[in-house]
Amino acid sequence: MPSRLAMHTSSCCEEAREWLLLANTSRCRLSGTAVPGWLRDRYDWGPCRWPFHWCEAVRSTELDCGALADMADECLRSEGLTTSRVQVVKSFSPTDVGHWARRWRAAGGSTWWIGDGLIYHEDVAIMGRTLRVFDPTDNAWVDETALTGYGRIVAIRFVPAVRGVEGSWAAYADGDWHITDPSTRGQTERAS
Amino acid sequence: MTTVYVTGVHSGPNPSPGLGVARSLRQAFDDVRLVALDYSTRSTGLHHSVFDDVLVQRPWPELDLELHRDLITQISTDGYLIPGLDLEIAWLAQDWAPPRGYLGPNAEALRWTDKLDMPAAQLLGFRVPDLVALPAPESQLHQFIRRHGGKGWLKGRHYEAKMLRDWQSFRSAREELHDRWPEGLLLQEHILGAEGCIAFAAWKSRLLGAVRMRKTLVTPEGKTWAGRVEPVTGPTYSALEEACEAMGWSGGGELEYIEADNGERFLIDFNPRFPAWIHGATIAGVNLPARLLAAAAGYPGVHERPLAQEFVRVVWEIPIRSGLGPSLVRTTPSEDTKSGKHPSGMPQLASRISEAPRHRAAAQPIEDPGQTDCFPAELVGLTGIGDTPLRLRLPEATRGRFDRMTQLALDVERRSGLPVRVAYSLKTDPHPMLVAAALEHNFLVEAISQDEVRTALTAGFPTERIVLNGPVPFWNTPNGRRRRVYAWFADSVEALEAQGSRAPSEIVGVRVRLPGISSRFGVSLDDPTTWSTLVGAVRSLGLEKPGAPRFGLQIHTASSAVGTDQWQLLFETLVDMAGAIERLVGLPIRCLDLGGGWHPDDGDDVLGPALSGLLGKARSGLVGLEEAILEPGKWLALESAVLLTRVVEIRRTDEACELVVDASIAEMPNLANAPTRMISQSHDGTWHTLREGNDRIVGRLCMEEDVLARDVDVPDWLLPGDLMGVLDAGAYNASMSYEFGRGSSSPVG
Repeated sequence: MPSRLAMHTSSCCEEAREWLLLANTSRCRLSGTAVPGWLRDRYDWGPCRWPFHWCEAVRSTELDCGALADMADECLRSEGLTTSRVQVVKSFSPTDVGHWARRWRAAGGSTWWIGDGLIYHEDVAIMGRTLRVFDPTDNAWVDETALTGYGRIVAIRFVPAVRGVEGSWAAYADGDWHITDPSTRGQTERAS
Repeated sequence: MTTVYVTGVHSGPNPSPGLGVARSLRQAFDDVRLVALDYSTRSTGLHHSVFDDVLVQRPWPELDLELHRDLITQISTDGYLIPGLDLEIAWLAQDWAPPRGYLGPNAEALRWTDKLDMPAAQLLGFRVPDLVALPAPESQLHQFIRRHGGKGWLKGRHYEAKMLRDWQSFRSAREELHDRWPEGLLLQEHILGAEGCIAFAAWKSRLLGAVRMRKTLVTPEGKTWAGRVEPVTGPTYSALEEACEAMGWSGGGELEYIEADNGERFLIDFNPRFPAWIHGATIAGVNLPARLLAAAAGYPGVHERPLAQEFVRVVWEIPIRSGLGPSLVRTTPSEDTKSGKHPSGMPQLASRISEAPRHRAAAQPIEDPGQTDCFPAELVGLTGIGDTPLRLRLPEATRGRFDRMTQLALDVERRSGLPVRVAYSLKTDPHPMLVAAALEHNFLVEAISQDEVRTALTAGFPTERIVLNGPVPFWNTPNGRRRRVYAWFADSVEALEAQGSRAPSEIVGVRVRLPGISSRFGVSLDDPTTWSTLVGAVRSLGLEKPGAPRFGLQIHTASSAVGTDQWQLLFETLVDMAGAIERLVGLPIRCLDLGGGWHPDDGDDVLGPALSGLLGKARSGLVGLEEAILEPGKWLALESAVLLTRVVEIRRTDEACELVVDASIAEMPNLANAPTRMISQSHDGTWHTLREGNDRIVGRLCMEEDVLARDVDVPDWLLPGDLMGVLDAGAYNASMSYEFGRGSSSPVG
């Protein structure tokens, strides 16, 4: 399942979450966009130790893709948008992933997300007239260009479930992401 | 063999489209002779081997324009010409019937691209950003920049755009662009959103194709360095088809637009030629220059070979064309400076074809100053003025201002259901006339120091009508004894923790600085730790106990720093924040205090009318809210005085006039941040507005920045000794004025 920041029972995490939403609202209103690009301006990408609590996350200088995606999801939903979490498998070179593995181990983080040239990654989707995927780690929209070349997506899944199935695979066609039949694995094929 | 001439071939950091057009034509047609035509050997694309030949013209200042037009006519009759320079296209369109081989828009088509109103936008289903054409009165320009939070673009009519951050950056940009582009400048609103470009080609009203390009890499100047191209289809294509027919378009074209988050598209430029990235579209399989030539020449079709949907630019050394070195055209240092950024000489062409820069309108007499708000009635029939400069206070105008503010507060209260109190900001201008007006109108008064508290008390204010603000309001408290005031807003968590539980006031609150706002004042909510500390500090004040002060929040972000629309959004964020504190602390917010450095125009036209709605929403969201406090300063005080000054010297040249007066920026210290209007009195005692023109008015000081007005038209009848007035001489122009260059003389009023 996608990463979720945890809440302490004391008020610290509730305060932290309120702060995030307030900061997001203020910045979104100033910038005229609902997309929380400011998260990546504020937080570097780096290892976190899970379970990760809201009060810890907002005060960190580094967040991993899961924490960024969860924060982005909260921000987007607070702006009235319907969202979905997105799980992605991406392909990199063994050299690239080797750097990340060493860094995560040195920080005491877990490296389960790193495979042999493949990594697990998290984004967030905005579900409206069209389905758009936002990567808060790269601070960029994810479109068909992400399916080829360096760092290409090899699999993508939307959570929560659609049509009662836990996790829904997706493919890119006609300028948009589309939920595919979960019984197929068409997610790596580009529409012609 | 068909010959095609291509103009505008410079390929530097700010490239023209000619080289890309030529490469696209060559890709489609092996047997076409391509000739580059430009106006300087510094146009680097001349040296590219894609051109079979080059035709370098003398620079624009040397060209006989009639002869040159004849050459263009000949070229376009014997062959074809694809123009790549906006001003060249505009010049050619003047009184010229294009021959069959001219592959560009004619005069009627060009009218649709006029940057002043962009009539094509409506055809295409785009909106147009707010715009002011220069020259324009300084006050109008300042209002535009203020209301858009300082953000905007200053553009030449055909070339260049400078991004603006504030009034000062506008002034710098204007100084830089003013001489380069004498045909006039445009001040355009900055639109937030994603940039987009559409390139298209049409021939005799028929659209031949269109592509959309999304920039994927940009230079620090914002120019395309890599992009993704896809064909335009659907409703956008249909709209473009209909637009080309309506405009009668022939040639290439580029639409530059911004798509806001809500999907609205704003057309920010319509360039009447192919864009510099046009070969990127050819790479993607849509060869628009070739389609254009094929349509004009009657070729059966164009073989287009898509290589990739994305393109990227690289830096690439090429040999210089034999016999064509950059030293071929000798330049003077000044021309070298001008042509460095524009090798094709567009600034020189602009100088040649521009109209007379400004019409020197006669000064407009004020027939009945009492009829207009702009000119104080106190000036009518004004005589017997002694020494100048003299700051003349305007009691009637001031009373009117305070009356209108009182009425506004009543109207807002009636409509929103929330009681509104007005607190006059003493620091803005503590002149006794203004303090008395505040007292008479039953306002509160806002003080930032104990000295100001004493001023208020001396004027007759009871302590219960004093609001205390600022970083050190208790500094210099006599005998350490604090008087009970109406409200106190802490400027920091530290002050709230230290003073909050013992501050003698009916309302205790804190000034907040919302995330994303840059300021030294208020508790910054950019940091989650500070947020938690603030919440903890509020919790520990014990304000929930019976008899404890009521709790309030204050926001004082200048509307000119963020824009008047954004200010309203910030107020809504304040209300959200107040709601969050209520939830976390369990303490109702009873009071919201609003300041914002509102200019009278912005207050009257924008914020005043919006206040009812804003406070109504606040009342709905915060059920414990009991009142709002408004803290106008400039809004009330700016127009309360006029600075009278006399003409000392008039310096005239053929082009412009410089007037020296006995006033200076010492009496008007805020002029650099906010220009004001000037008036002059003719010998029959009538007052006249100074219209826009080429002249300027400078002060008596030996300081380069002692300039009181720019771009004004000094009346021909003005003589040394005549009286003039600088309006808006109240507020900070009064309170921050200083003594300078007057020896031991007393400071002005």
